[in-house]
Amino acid sequence: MGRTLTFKIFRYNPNKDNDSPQVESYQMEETQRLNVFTALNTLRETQASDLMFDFVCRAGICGSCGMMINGRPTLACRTLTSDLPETIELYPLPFFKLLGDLSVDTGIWFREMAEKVESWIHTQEEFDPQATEERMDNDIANKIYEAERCIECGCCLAGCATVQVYPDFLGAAGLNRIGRLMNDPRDQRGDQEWFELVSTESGVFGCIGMMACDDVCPKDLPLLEVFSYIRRKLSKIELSK
Amino acid sequence: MPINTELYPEEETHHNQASDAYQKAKKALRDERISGFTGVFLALFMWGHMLFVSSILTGEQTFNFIADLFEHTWLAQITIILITIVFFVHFVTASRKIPRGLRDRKKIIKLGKSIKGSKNRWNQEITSDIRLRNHSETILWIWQVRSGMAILILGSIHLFIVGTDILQRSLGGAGITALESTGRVGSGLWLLYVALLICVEFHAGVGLYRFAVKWWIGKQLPLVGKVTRRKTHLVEQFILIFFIIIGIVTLAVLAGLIDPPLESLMADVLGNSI
Ligand code: HEM
Ligand code: HEM
Ligand code: SF4
Ligand code: SF4
Ligand code: FES
Repeated sequence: MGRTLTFKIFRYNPNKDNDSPQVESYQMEETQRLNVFTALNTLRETQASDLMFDFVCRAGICGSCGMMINGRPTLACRTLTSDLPETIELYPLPFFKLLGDLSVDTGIWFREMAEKVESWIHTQEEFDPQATEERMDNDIANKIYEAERCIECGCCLAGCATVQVYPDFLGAAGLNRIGRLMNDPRDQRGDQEWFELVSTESGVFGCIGMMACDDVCPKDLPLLEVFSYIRRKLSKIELSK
Repeated sequence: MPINTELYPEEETHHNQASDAYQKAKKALRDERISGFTGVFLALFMWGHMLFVSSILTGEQTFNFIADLFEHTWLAQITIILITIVFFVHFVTASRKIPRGLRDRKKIIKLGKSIKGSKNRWNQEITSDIRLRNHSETILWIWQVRSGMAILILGSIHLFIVGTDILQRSLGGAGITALESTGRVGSGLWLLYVALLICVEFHAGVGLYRFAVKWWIGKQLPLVGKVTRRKTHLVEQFILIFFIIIGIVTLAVLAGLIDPPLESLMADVLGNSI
């Protein structure tokens, strides 16, 4: 207790004429179990009324509050200041469209991704609201559940060096989504369709295995396991043709 | 009867193996396989290579015997041609992933350093609610590219030197001999070999680790159980250190700095069997 924290925060509003990126310092007293999200709110109430940043759930569920905290992408609401030294440097996530200060628009990217991978169950079957739900193998259900835990925070993309350089690359969140649908027996897309979608340089072979996504994902998704599953599956598809 | 579909988008009407998309996807998979397998092949070759070169540890006779055996049976000649081809194929396919622009390469370095360096800019207790993992593989990739470039130059020189030796043997010369090898290593070429050794072992070590993670992580294998990053990384570190130590000792013998440490052992074996 009793520490005085110094926040060095990236400030820039791209919509304001003649604004240029700079870092501003703010100081505040640390309180018990203070997290970065609460600290930012206090700063906005007391010192920087125009500070822009995002949050909704403050519980690591909505994925809005991703930012670079002392050099790595993670969720502000899940970061206790007691895990950090007295100086805390905050930058917006790279790669995404900057809305201002610490706020980025991850939605644009995730929407485009969802359209590219046609992120819905492709089926011709008529939906019958009266029917009992179809049974699913437990292993598959678990795999799908694991993938569904993604909160679209964008940390895996902000941490991936490849996606910074090849913006078409679907990144960890995109490949995870594909893996989720490939695993789903209700999705009727055939081998050929999957092959054309993922066996590409913007699909799984765009990944050069830097493993940052796996290390920074705040929800600890087994991302690398999804990639290796996709790789082996594509290999099998190709060999069986 | 086939009907005319030229007015309609290809991806809707040509879902077959002749479609552009399928051919492109096939090429992407092929490139990835080639760069991966040539890399693994080279790494395996380097293990065998180290075994043969380190035969100098047991004295010049063994070294000469092995060199002679390979040249006599044309294995050396075949291998050097094969390896040179694989070497360049790997170089071409693996470097398709290296960004051409300097700005892009700087971005990778900057992000990699930022996440790696964040280890010192956080002070988490072991008991922290949310333990963050350390991350260094992005920077390791940068060093893989750098070491790869060094291998391209140093390895080509080396292949040229031993290639000339082997060629001379085919034309009736002496070929690779302990005398020749110690001569050139001792006269300053050791510098090149130390650099090449470190680059190759590092590059191959990280490469094998990455290859294993890319294709097998999460898979249940017999004996080792589930493949994890931790296990693969440990194996990689062990191999790396093992081969660098053997390589350095071998170079010290070749450079004439120390006597072959296993010579007496060999003498015992030969003495007993003759
Ligand atoms: C000719 C110079 C070389 C260059 C420029 C080079 C470059 C590269 C690059 C950039 C990668 C990363 C590819 C990727 O992540 O997709 C790579 C991977 C690899 N390299 Fe090399 N390399 C060279 C020589 C070698 C040699 C001599 C060996 C063996 C001793 C080797 C073994 C490997 C392995 C095992 C991989 C991993 C393949 C994978 O992850 O799919 N390389 N190389
Ligand atoms: C068929 C092809 C090859 C042959 C016949 C061969 C042969 C030899 C020989 C005879 C030496 C002892 C030093 C000398 O005589 O100059 C040596 C050392 C060495 N070679 Fe090769 N080599 C081959 C391919 C390669 C390749 C592709 C690489 C890696 C790119 C490589 C890396 C090294 C290294 C690092 C050393 C030093 C060994 C040590 O540290 O103990 N060689 N090689
Ligand atoms: S995979 Fe992880 S890091 Fe990436 S968006 Fe989902 S929750 Fe965030
Ligand atoms: S493994 Fe590396 S290259 Fe692949 S998606 Fe993750 S961070 Fe990007
Ligand atoms: S505010 Fe919802 S994840 Fe942080």
